[in-house]
Amino acid sequence: MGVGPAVDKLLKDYRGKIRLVVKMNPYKYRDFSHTAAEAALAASDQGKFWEMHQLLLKKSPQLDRNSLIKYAQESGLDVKRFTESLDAKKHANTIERDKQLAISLDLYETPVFFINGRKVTGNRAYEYFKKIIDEEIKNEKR
Amino acid sequence: MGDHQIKKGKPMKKFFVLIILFLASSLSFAQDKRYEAPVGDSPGYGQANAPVTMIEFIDYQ
Repeated sequence: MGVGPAVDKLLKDYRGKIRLVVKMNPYKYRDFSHTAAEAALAASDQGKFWEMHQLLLKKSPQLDRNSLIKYAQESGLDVKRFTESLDAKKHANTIERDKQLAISLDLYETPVFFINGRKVTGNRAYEYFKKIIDEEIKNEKR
Repeated sequence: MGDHQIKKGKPMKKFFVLIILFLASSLSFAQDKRYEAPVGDSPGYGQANAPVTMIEFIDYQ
């Protein structure tokens, strides 16, 4: 569900304890970063964000328009609606808002995580995340 | 004379241990800095009232 196997395993092991939220921070000089973010949000409009999110992570960097439309089919989306949303850049404002938030937080790389506001940069090992999450759950119980 | 010097050394050792402990605790404070990142209407997975909220900023490419 997340980025990489560590986050996937955390979501499984801490079922009900973790809420994962995704913000878009596409790099402007990569060809398909923006359009892939549009694809994820277009899928979200049809209630299939996670299906598309997983496919995009798995298939990256094959993220050209035709590939995205193929992934929409695989995710069981209304392809016509999806393609219209993609071509119209319907979610450009949302993506821009996320990017501005990233800038305000001084983020210049991906992925970056905030675990109850605590910053973790890059794909870390499972144990690294686990330590922070265990601390947060312990704090919650106090 | 030699005994006297050893006894003198012990409090110094304790002092250094204290300084190291102090530095270590202030370092962990630095890592505990919390940033304000609003969830907003971004896509999410899991319960909204979960004790841990993990926000990820990603680039698919």
